[in-house]
Amino acid sequence: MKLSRLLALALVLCLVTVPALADAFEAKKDGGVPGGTIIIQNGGDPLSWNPDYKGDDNLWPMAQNIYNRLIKLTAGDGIDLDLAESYEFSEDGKDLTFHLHQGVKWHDGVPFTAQDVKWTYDTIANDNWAYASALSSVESIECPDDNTVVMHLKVADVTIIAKLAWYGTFILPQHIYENGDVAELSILESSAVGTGPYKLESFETGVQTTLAKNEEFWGDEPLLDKLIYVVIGDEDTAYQSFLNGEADYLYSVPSANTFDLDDDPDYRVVVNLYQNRTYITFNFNDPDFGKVEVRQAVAKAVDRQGIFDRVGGGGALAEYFISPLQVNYVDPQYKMPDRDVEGAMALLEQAGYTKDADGFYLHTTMDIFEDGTFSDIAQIVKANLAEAGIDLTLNIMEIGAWMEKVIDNANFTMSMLAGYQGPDISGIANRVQTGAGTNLALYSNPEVDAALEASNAETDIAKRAEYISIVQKCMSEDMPMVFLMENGGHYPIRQDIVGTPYDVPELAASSEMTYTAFTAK
Amino acid sequence: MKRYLLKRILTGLLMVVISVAINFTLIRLAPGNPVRIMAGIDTPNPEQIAQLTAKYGLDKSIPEQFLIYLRGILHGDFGYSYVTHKDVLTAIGEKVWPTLLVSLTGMAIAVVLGTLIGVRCARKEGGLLDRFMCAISYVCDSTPSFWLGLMLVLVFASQLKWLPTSGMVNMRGGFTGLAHVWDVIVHLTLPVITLVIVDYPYYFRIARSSVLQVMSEDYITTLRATGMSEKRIFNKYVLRNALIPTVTVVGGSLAFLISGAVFIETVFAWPGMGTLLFSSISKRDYPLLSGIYLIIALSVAVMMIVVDVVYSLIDPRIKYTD
Amino acid sequence: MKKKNVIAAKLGRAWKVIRTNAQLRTGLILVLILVALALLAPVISPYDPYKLTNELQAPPGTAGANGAPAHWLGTDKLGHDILSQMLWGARTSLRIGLTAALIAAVVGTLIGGVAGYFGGRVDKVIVEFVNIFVMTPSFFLILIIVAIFGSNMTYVMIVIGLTSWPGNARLMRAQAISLRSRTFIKSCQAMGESKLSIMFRHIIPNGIFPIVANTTMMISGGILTEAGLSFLGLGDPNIISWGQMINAGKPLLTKAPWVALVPGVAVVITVLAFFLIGDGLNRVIAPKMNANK
Repeated sequence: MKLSRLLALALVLCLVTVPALADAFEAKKDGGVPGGTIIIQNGGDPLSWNPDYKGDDNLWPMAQNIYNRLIKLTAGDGIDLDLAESYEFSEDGKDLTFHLHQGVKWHDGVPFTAQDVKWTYDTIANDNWAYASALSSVESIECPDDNTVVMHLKVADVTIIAKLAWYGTFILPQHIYENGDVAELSILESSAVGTGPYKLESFETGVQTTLAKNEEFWGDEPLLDKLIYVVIGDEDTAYQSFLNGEADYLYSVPSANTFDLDDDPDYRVVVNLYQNRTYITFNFNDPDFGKVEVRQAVAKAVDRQGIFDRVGGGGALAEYFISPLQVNYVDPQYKMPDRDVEGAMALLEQAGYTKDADGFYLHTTMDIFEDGTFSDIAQIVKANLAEAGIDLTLNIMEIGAWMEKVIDNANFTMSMLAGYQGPDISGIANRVQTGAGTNLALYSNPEVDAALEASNAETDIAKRAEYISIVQKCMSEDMPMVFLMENGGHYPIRQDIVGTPYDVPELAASSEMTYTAFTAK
Repeated sequence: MKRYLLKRILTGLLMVVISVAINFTLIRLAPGNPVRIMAGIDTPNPEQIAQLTAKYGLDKSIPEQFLIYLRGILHGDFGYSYVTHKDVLTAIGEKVWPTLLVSLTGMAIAVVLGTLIGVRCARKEGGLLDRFMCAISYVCDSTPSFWLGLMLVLVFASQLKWLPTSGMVNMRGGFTGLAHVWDVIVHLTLPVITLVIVDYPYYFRIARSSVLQVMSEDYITTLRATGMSEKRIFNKYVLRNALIPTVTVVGGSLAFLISGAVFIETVFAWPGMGTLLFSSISKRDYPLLSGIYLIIALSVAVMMIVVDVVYSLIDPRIKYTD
Repeated sequence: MKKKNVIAAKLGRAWKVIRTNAQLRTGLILVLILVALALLAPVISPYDPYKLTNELQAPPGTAGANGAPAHWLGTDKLGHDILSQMLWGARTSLRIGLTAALIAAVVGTLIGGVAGYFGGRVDKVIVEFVNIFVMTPSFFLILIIVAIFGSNMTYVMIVIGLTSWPGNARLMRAQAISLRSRTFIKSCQAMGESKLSIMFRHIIPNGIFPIVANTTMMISGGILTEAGLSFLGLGDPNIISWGQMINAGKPLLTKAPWVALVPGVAVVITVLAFFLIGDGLNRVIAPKMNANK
């Protein structure tokens, strides 16, 4: 994928809010009519009905329709207002005031107030829920009246807006949760009470979840009557049922089928890139991979183009150390090295390795879990590294065993991971900062830590970019991660369905179906 | 007989307990911890983990956990499934019917079809049909069900579009009554055909060989000598005795019905025990896994005893003594 | 000299059996071809089976780039030559099938032999022990073990072997019980030969034939089990196996059906071959059941 196309896709991130248009029925413009039931494929059952308690990718698409956040991350990776009508920072950047929509009601009819917001955020922070880190810079929260929430920050932190707009920050009904044990209440269907455009109607383990239109929704009126999330765990089966019309809407297309429907007149294809990247990472405590030459050798040995051609799907070739969507921050002088097998071998010899009888400098294992494309990528990496004299044994594990071995015990040499690194550029900290949650490499560079910290307090984009450039420089030198692919979607959408989140990327959250409708037959 | 039965039931129970104990220990010794998995990759919360570990009793030793488990079962409590947030029996009860529907239908057709063809081939032994069916049955017997399922989907769902690819009902349909039944039948067709094709050779071969065997027995020859008609001999003496082995193996197969459906359910996204089993493995839902295992082990034990009893009832030559 | 004649006579008899038994004949020919292909894989494979060629999902018969050999059976998504993978995959299937069946044969024969020949209390205990294993839903157990402990091929072979011996044990036990009352065994006992020695030198060699037949069938079972595990995504990623190839072909079913079709057919043929041999041997044991007289 060309950079120009990436740039075109990239929306200006953060700090820019697009006011919701009161009468923005994009779907109606395209011939959408009210009514109908859409069948959406989902990978599995939700763990609970509480979208903030723990990370839950099966609840996530439904949560965006049942609940609201104060501000939301849109399908186009921009920031839009949700329950907040407006917000402003104080002069010193340490007070953040949200003005809430009026007349909002919970699905059970109880009025929504600023107290719900305070309770939700306080509980997330105090009980250390999944994404408590989003609120780490918050000192205290107060509610001067029912429609106003003021956050007092410890330090000026511009990144908090993006964090509040992302994951695990849905506003929950205080009146449901305050009278019992959260863990127990979270799993009750009766707790699935939100303020969103759809209400939970029924749930059947391993089969489906049905959401019905919230007739009293405070925002733009939803068009569909029902959303049915059907559990089809297997990606290939899901795709086949999509082709056969048994499911209407897919969240992912198997990488083998990415381009199948590009020329099919019955579908339109939306191309989307995320700040989500697949990478190889190393254990810095390993005697071999603790050496920078070995890590650099792997970076030179892998055939990123070959990987992208075979399993790239709707994504892009990874070229930089941060997502290319961060147009303001990508420093083009720090690029992933080109494939150079000779150079990789030279580095290994420089580090003191010699070839053994089988022609290998070193033998090692890569521990991965199965995640759609991981085993295919691993097969390619194995073949690539063999050419450079590194014998790689693959160990494909069940995710539970992998977490224990790699994350908890750091008992690995090489592994592979993918994940979201946004929405703000500060999202990379979770993978490179000393002691950060997803820093599997146990990478620690004081220069990186200092630059990240400094950039969080800075509001000027150009100045922030200077700090982020330092981070990229360190990453290119230390090579804690070898980025393989930018992940994206290449989504076929049936022509008779309009107003999907991909069609209204500034309006809807990534899986919010408020604007989605069928066209008149 | 009574004493024999009692002994069988007791040893059967003991075996179930031992078998479940092995499974119980194995899954707990394996890497991966359910509470840790629930906490997620990105931001595991140590307090939640500790709280849930204590709540589910996972901080106790394995023998201790097993005793608690056994005590629970004696009180009819099979445990609480961490992932589906349900009582284990409820969680299994919801999923066992679709599995039984597809596997029982498949098996019933396979048994009837296999036996009919087998008996017919045996009567015209060496004939064209017999030789053809023998050859075909070898091939069907060697075909992996999952692969056959894929090929059938390719032909009948993807190419011809006659039948649906996967699932049990059309979600959009919301059918009730007869329309719902028809919907399920349509979805049931491909999985059942797959099962029948890979399973019938077993029953075919058993029916065929036991008919052949009975027909070569001395008393049949004697009957023939008396001038009794071939048809009468066959219906009255051969068939009855020849069907005994079929009854035995049907019993045996019934016991393994549930675990055998894993492939079919995977290929056709059939919402049954196979799917439940897989998700309980990947989420390390210990109580649910042990519960599924216990039920399978129990049904195996029960079926084996039932088969013995039925066997002795239809074949008066067998007497159990101890 | 005398011994040679005995062997020649035995071979002659075996040859006659093979000639007259259609199942055995067909099965043996198929297995010989398979073994030959597997052994010759390094020589006759047109490509290194791990080689990532630039022809992705190429249909059968596609020419190779720059004068490289053609892909007679096409390529998969990553550009592997399917014919080469098939040949190397044959080694995996045969290895897994043989090893697992051999483990089951050894364990089953020993346990069954001891139970049947020693009898008494030993027998009672062993019979109950065997019953536990018979009642264990073995595929379910294999699935759990492989899913949680990892899909290393060695584990897979051992686990399949260790869960499938009870059939052999039952057969051997029956053989031992019938053999121990025979005169030649009695005379060995009278001559003071030790029980263990009798078991290994006389009981097992004389009673092994049904185990051989059953073991051949088990090779089929082992190959099917491995293919099934691989299909469920539980194959060893460091080896090439037909099951994994079918799994790789699953998403390409409509676009490149040959990727799943070819290895599937190979599994059917291989399983069929061992199955025919096993069935043929059983017919030799019990001639009454012989259908095609």
